[in-house]
Amino acid sequence: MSSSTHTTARPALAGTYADGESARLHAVTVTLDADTLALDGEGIAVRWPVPELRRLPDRPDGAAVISEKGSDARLWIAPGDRDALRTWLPRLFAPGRTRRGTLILGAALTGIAVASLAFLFVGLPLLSRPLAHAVPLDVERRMGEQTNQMVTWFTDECETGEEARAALDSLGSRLHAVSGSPFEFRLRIVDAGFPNAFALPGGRILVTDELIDEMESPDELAGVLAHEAAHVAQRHVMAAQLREMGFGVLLELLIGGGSGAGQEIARTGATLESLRHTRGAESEADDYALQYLVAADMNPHGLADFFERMQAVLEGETEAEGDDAEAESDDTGEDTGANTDLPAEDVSEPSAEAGDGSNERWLSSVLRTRPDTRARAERARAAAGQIGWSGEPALNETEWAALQAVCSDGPIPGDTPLERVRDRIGDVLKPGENGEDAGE
Amino acid sequence: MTDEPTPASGSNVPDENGPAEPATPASEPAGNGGERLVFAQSGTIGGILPITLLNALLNIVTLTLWRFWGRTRVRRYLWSTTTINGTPMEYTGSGWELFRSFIVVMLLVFLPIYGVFFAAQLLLPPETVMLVFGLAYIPILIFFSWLLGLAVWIARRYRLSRTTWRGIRFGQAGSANTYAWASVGYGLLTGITLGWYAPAAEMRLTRRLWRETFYGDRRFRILQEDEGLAGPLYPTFALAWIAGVVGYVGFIWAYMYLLFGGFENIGDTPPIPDAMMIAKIYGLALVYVLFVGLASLPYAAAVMRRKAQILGLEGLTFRLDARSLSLGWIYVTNFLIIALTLGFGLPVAQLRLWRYIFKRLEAEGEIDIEAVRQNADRGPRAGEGLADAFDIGNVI
Repeated sequence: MSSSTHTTARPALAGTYADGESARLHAVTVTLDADTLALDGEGIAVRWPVPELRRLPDRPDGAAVISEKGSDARLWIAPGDRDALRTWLPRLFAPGRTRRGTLILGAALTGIAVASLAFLFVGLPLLSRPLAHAVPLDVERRMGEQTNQMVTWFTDECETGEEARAALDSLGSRLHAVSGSPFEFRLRIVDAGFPNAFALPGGRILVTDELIDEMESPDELAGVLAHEAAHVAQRHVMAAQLREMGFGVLLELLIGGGSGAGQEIARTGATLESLRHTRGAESEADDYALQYLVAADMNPHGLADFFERMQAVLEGETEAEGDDAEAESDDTGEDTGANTDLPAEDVSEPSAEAGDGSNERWLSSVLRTRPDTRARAERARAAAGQIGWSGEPALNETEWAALQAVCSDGPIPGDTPLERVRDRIGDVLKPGENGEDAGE
Repeated sequence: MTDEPTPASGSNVPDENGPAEPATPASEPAGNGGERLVFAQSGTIGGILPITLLNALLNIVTLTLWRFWGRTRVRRYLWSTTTINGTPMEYTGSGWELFRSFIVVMLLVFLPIYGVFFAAQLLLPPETVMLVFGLAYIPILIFFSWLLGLAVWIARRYRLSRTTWRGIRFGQAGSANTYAWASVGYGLLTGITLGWYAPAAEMRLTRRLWRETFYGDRRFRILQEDEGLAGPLYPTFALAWIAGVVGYVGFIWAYMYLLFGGFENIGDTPPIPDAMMIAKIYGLALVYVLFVGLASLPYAAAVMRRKAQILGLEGLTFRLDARSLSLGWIYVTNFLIIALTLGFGLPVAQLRLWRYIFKRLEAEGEIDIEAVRQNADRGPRAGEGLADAFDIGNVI
């Protein structure tokens, strides 16, 4: 070190020393001797090799704080002598040392953040499809049953007559035969207060009573079901579920359980982004749906008809949109049309974050459906135009009438979610006590 | 270490008003006898502001990954501007320690928990899964509040072990598990007694922590053992409790009135609230929170005073002059600072509370500081990841 050549001429500095063994403070004189900092005082003779020195953040009064690596001892040099010390130990006092450290650390962390984002928004969506195909069928089936169970707890079941049941089963098996889906399609009509159809993992497809009411022909229903069937067969549902899980875990890893503003912003951004990714899956499902319809000899225009009807409903509602959005925030509100983009994922995890669900639904419908439905209708129409079909409707009139009748009397009486909870608990705790869980 | 500290000077409990002597930087006191302690806090908004701004910026670009290092800087500033007899305290923790322990906790604690929940969902028969989760609700709640107790204890041990004064570490001994179970038990008692056990719970937990707290090789002690630990808190607590109940009933009452447009209509289907009504309901909620908050201030101040009062170290006793109005001012303005800056102003708020405490903290009696030896326990190697995972890590 260059400073070692002319050390002897230096005057000593005054410092305060604590040895890290006791809380006693010692007044010391500090000198630099070759490559050694010498601290001398009453009963104190400490030698610190200069390369082993470390500098701690200055005291607020400007005093410099020096220690030895790994040591609890402290040497304080008063602000007046700080400049002298700086010339002795130029390396320790090199300007910009801490700033450079901050910069490097900040850059590294930003790098990690960007890489995590890239993985969340690019890697995960790309990976989710192959991963979904790798999930054992049995696991997906179980997940589907689980989700179905939750949906059952939160929606009202409708009396489905034998004829309606048979019609649904026949639609399901005809689509299954042509889709090559690893799962059977099990269709069910529920009363959820808004028109929608959604596929659960493992082949369950739920259609709300309101959606059927909106339709004018069984071919439209077949089109919608074919679309949902494609989501199942292509395992979009599983992929979406994996994405959601991956997102949740990774995001929490990144931002922690925190509730600060920055963390909330990150969460919201992530949610919006994950919604956007389903668009590719939607158009893919539209394409497959057409193939299924053709193969099953069903009206290929059914899907386009349905999209157009929804588009008409949406346009009719545009003026009332503001009210619509608000009405939707309570579940009883009339909510026609806003959710008819047949999202595969919207309801695939219905219990999670039930509090924000309605807002998310509203957001997702605004972000995705509005500009999309017309384009999807046009695409479906164009593709269907080139396809022939025997002209046979997907269901005969009695069957269609049976389906339309489902839920027309409202949900099964005595079957509100609360009553079901009570029944369930009653089943297990035989004497029929209402456990405290009934309050949930 | 023995349970009772050696000096027999622990009987001077009464809190006379010892006037604060001028801050003399007593670097070399003469005798071997005691030394009085004088606290001072010289932090300024101007001093914390650069740290606050840099933290805000870096938290944004790193998607909050900077928060561990940011918090370390804030602590370093708060500690270093706090002097005892002219020598500042020092925070020796590092952002890296906090970061590492957060990652470890996330991977070793929360990921497995997530996995267990997921597997349970998958493996249980669908018909029973909701029921199982329903029945497991209470045990799960207890498990998480136990984990929360662990988190509090571990984080405090970390912070103390990274706090030094005159080169001597603070520290915390005892058992995290015992503390966590105690906090679960007190929590249950508080619930059973409709909250009336809360002051006792608070003080008992405080006692558990402080009687295991060390400066160097000297253990803090609790001057007030079992009887009457929380007794003096109950008048102010009663005020807060009654205000809470009255406020809640009043809030529900006014809410119903607003929602149904008069009491005669209650029971009808409520109309869909419009923007005006939502604004009114929010206004109502604000009035409710302010009312209960104001009524709770005397209790909050009393808790602070009491905690200082029951504490002793060698020949020292402590006094913290917290008052409802001044503390309320700090709380209200801090709330505004945090809310208006979207949380980025948190360090400023923390500085203000910290300053409030150390400007009003006095020690009476004397301690032979020179006889204090280093704490043999270097503390945990990693930081307070469990607390971070619960989002309670950002306390000072």
